[in-house]
Amino acid sequence: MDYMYMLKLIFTTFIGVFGVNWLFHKFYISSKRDFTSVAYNQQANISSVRKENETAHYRNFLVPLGFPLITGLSLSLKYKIRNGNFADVWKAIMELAGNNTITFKNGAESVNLKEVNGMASHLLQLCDQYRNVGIAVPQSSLQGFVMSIAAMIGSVKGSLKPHFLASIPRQKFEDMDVLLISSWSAYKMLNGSEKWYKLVIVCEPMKDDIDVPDHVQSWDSILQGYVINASFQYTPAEDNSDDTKIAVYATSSWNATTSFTQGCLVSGIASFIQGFPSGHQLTCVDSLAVAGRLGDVDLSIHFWHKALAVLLHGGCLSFVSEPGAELKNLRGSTLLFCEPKFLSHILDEIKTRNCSLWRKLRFAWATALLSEGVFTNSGQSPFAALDELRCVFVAEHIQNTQLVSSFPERIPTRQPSFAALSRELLTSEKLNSIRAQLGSRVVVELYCPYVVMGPLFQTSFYDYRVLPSSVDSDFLCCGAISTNLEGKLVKTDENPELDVTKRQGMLCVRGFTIGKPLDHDRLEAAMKLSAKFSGGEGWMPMVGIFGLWGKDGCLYIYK
Amino acid sequence: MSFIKNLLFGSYKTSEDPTGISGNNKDNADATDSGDAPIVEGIFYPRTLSKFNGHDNEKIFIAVRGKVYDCTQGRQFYGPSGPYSNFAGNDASRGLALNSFESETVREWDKSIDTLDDLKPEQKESLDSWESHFANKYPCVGTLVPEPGVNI
Repeated sequence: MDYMYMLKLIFTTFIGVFGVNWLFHKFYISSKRDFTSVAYNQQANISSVRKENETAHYRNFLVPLGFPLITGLSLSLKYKIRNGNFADVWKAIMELAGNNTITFKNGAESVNLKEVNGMASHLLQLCDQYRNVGIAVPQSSLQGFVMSIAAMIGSVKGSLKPHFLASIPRQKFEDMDVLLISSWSAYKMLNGSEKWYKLVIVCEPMKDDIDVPDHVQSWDSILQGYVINASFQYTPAEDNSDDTKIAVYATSSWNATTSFTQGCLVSGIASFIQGFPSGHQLTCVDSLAVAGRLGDVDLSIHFWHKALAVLLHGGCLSFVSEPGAELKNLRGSTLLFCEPKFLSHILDEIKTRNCSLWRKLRFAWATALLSEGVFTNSGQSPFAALDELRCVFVAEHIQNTQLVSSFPERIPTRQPSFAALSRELLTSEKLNSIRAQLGSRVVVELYCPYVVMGPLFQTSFYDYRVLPSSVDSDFLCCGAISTNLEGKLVKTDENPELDVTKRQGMLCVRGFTIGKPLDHDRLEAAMKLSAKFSGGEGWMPMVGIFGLWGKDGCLYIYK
Repeated sequence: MSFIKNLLFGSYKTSEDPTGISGNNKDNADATDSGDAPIVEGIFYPRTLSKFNGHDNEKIFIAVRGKVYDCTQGRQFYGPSGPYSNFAGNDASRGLALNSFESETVREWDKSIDTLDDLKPEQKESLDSWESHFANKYPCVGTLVPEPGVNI
């Protein structure tokens, strides 16, 4: 009798659990899922034709084949459509400017946009007769940001252009009339090269014990007399000539200079805005935090799209420091742009503070749901700084950017452990855990500094998949290509094991965010390389980046 | 039981392998087996082109002035039972020049390729316009040439 009772109990329990699981799957998970398996498998538009030694062309799912890529802001000028330029963007930002502020790394207080505009207008008046301004301070500082804004306005309205420098130049740039440096100690190290410039601005206050020539001034002295200004006027040229001007120059630590046009800037802004799905668009309550090195000189070229897009919607911007990575720095931020290392710091801080059983159960609930495609913030760690956070953009960089930006004729051989990416690679399992702990979406983006402004690839806002461990160990899932680029993989003689018929090869991209090398030799090399792989159809081979297109349309790069 | 098991043991649901390389399947073999695999740009004869009519093959190719375009995305027009289905898998140059969708304007695959020498200036103009329309809208997948022993 007891045996029968136990048997019935076990059987009933089993049926009950099985039924609950079935009902839960059928009615809860299916209705709450953000992305269906069909959507996961169709993240790219793939051309139906390919050339013999290359794969088909891949585009983001949002850009159908036969339609143009995202080129700009689609502004109307009488009956014509314009892509727009920085002045259009800044004008729109200032029209919306109210209480939105920017918090800089080197300032305790937030600065209102009207104040930034006043400073930038004042600087532009003083520097209007000059050509390029070398900015050798982080754009995450007040001085670097304001000077960049002034010079970008000048790039449309006058002759002034920003030139982001990874370090103080050791050789003279012909067009560089103004140099912005951080300190008097940096000034002392100029060793007479200050004579190359018509104006040198030092960000520290003037010191009495330093004797300087007239053309060397401190930031405070040069800003004397500026007024807070809420308005910015700009009338676009009718022939669209402003939209094709150079927006910014960037020089790397290995002295390679690349120019990016207004088109690179506005198409990136448009692409970022379009990347938010319906119901999650940018609004005036959004606040973007740019973390760590991404606001510094050598990587700062990439935050502008996001920063300007958020400001365009009336949002706020803040720069937070790397050391410590204290969670309180993120308070009020809805969007975070950071590197994997910064994210690791945050996770370490969270883990050391909470480990109760209840938290573990909620975390397990969240990760299990996320892997089923259902987003929940029930596993979010109990920190006030994370309450507002809704999306984290993780920037992965091609580590060997110097190789890519030198456009070598000889293609390297792919090694089994060829790590083209940073060492802090995040696996899909770890990303899922981060989503649960932060209660926020996480988008991984792949960048190639000094070659492409903005991300090359990005994972979907709704992509919470946990990939098989064999995929995670061999590849980094980069997501679908950006909406302002299209890509293909090509066969290389040096890597015969990569078969284009199996969608493997070396990456080539073309589109609107690719920069143009300024040095004659690099430009020649780039043109030769492009002609070699694609017959000069505007494709830019990304030398050393080997991967394969997944069946889902995403790029998977070999680790 | 998968969700409850994952919840209890703190594990995850793992997605399918999108690369096709997991486990022993290191060759990513099924990548080329799919009917959706892209076609290599190349040379078509009227005979080989005729298969791409949306019926014998899912894809719809149409030749205009010697160039072959992939019009699969225009299936509602050129596909089976579409208003212009006569053009699918054929050289549509004469029909487009005459703005006629009748089957008489399309030659069988075993006939010589239409040289279009007898077209009037306005018909040539119409063909120019259609050619530019096809070039802008559909990807070019190759060229149409006569097959020795069949069309020559």
